[in-house]
Amino acid sequence: METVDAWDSVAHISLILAVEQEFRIALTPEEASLVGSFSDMLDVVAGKL
Amino acid sequence: MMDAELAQLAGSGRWAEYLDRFRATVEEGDPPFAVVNYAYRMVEEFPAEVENYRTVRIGLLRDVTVEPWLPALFAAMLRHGLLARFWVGDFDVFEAYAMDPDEVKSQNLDILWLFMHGSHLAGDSRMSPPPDLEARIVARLESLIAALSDGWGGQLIVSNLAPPERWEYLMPLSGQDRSSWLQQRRSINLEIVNRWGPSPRVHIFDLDDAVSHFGVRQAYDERMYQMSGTPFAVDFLPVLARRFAEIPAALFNAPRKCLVLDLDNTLWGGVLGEDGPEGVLVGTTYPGTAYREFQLFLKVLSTKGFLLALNSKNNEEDAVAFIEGSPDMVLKMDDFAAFRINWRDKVANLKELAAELNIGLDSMIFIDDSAVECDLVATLLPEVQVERFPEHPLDIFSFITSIKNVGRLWVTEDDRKRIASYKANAQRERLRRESTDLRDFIRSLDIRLTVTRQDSAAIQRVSQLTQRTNQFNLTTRRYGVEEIETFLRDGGVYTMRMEDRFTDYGIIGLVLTKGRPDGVSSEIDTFLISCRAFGRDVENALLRIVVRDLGERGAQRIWARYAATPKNAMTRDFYLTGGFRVAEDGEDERVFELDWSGRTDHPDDALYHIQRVGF
Repeated sequence: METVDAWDSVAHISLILAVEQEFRIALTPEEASLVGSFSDMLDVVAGKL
Repeated sequence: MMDAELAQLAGSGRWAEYLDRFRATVEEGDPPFAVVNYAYRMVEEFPAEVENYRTVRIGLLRDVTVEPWLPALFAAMLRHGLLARFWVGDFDVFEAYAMDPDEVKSQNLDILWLFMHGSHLAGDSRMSPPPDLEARIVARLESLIAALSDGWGGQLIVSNLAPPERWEYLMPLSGQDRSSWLQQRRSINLEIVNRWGPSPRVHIFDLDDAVSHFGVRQAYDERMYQMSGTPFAVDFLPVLARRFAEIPAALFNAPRKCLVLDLDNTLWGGVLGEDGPEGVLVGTTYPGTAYREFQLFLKVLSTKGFLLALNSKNNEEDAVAFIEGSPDMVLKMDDFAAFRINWRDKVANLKELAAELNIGLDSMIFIDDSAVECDLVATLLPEVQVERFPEHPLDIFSFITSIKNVGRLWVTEDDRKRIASYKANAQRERLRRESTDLRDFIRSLDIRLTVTRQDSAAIQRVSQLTQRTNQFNLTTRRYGVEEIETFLRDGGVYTMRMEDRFTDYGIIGLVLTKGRPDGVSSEIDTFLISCRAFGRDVENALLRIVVRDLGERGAQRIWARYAATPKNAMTRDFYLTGGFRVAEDGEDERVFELDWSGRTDHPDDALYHIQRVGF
């Protein structure tokens, strides 16, 4: 996500919301702030399913 | 897969189809957040105007993170055919924008939404608020709204205060404590509606009800609030957006005027022809209660100026006998402005009803339980709004709240009178058939016309007339309240009220005029007559009154204009009949002029009792 120019805090929050709703999971603020790449996100989601 | 389709339409710049496609998805039910975001992310690419969609620019002044709401708002507006574009003010900045409105003005907004979060407004003091907290908050709102009204002047939407997300530690017994934040918040909401309830430019968004109805615990997401400053849970966003969108829809869309209803399995349960009057379900025991509830809802709509009509496959005699005879029927034949109870096809019936009531198909809502009938109407008469009535009686309650375009921001006196005047039309028609000459007919109606100059009391009705009148409307210019205020200040606003021996029609005619820069000529900007007043020649009487007044006020020449629309062909030669001559002639536009040469009385003026007010 650091490599995407248009990325900002709104995009970040939107992604978290979309993933949470899709998988019916909830990330803690700590987890959400640590997600910095696609593979980070995969790890977090996989850990909650 | 919708994403691929959207990407393709976006790639080839087919934006109207892009919006149509996404709108269809939204109409099926709330799509997931990711899907809505995906569709919305192209918003920056949209051209300023997209065919068939009216662009509405919405500004938000806010003290929470509202950005994640925008896709949902975009989707909800699209359901009403509105393309929303957004401008969001800096976080927690209100007074600065209000006191120095240049930045807000430069955004060319159609509406500005003032969103103040209750717990922010109350601040830390909400734990143990001083008794005057509510008064201070209302005063702050008051000065903000006053400053924005003066400085910016557009349509404002103010959300009231939702129930607080956290309450446990506010006060254990706050139900007994008048000064608790829980109670003061309620009082603020009452004060908001007391002060700004139906008003021309300030509209209240009932966030309190939206959150309560969805459930306070479900509506908030404390975690997202802590993390990003956005208070509401992702599942609440479509609900919030739908409720919000009702206001711009009522402001910017032409209102629907008539609900056309089926009888069997819609106004009552069962089929009258098969089950008989004894077997039909409506009344005070379930499932008849659900149908009765629907009828009560329709009755309320009819007091707000909606026309009700029937379109049913039944034997007319049996249906009328049941409606009139059953004590359980809330609606009686008298509540319907027109009806077609027969075995012909419903599309033909709808067209006839539109003609009889003198309204367009695009102001009708068709409600029927049959999927086949609904599809047929939707396909053959796409202008008609089709609402499929639910099969199961219990679903009726949520169906009632889901019908679009039945909300009204305000109800004018004329809305209330509309029903009576449509009914009186039937009696009048009989009289017309009996009179051979139009003048005799007009004389027999005993028509009283009251023309009021600079009628500032009727400003909402005046704006409404410009929005709603399509047929007898020479230029079809739509004006909001603030634009009418400009005419009141700098030009002329003439309203005409009509009464006859059957009914009071309210205001049915409007003329807006403005002076020309040369100082010696005037221009008729808008001339319109409501379709309810057709066929009595009152339009010519009104033109004579206005021309005479402009002349007596010093206009040496009067200009007027006809701009063709698909609906106003009947007015093409109106000014010629009124003694004007053609200055410029074209297919789509004609310009007329008339030199004022002093007052001459017209013999037809004697047909009416004419009263002039404010001249």
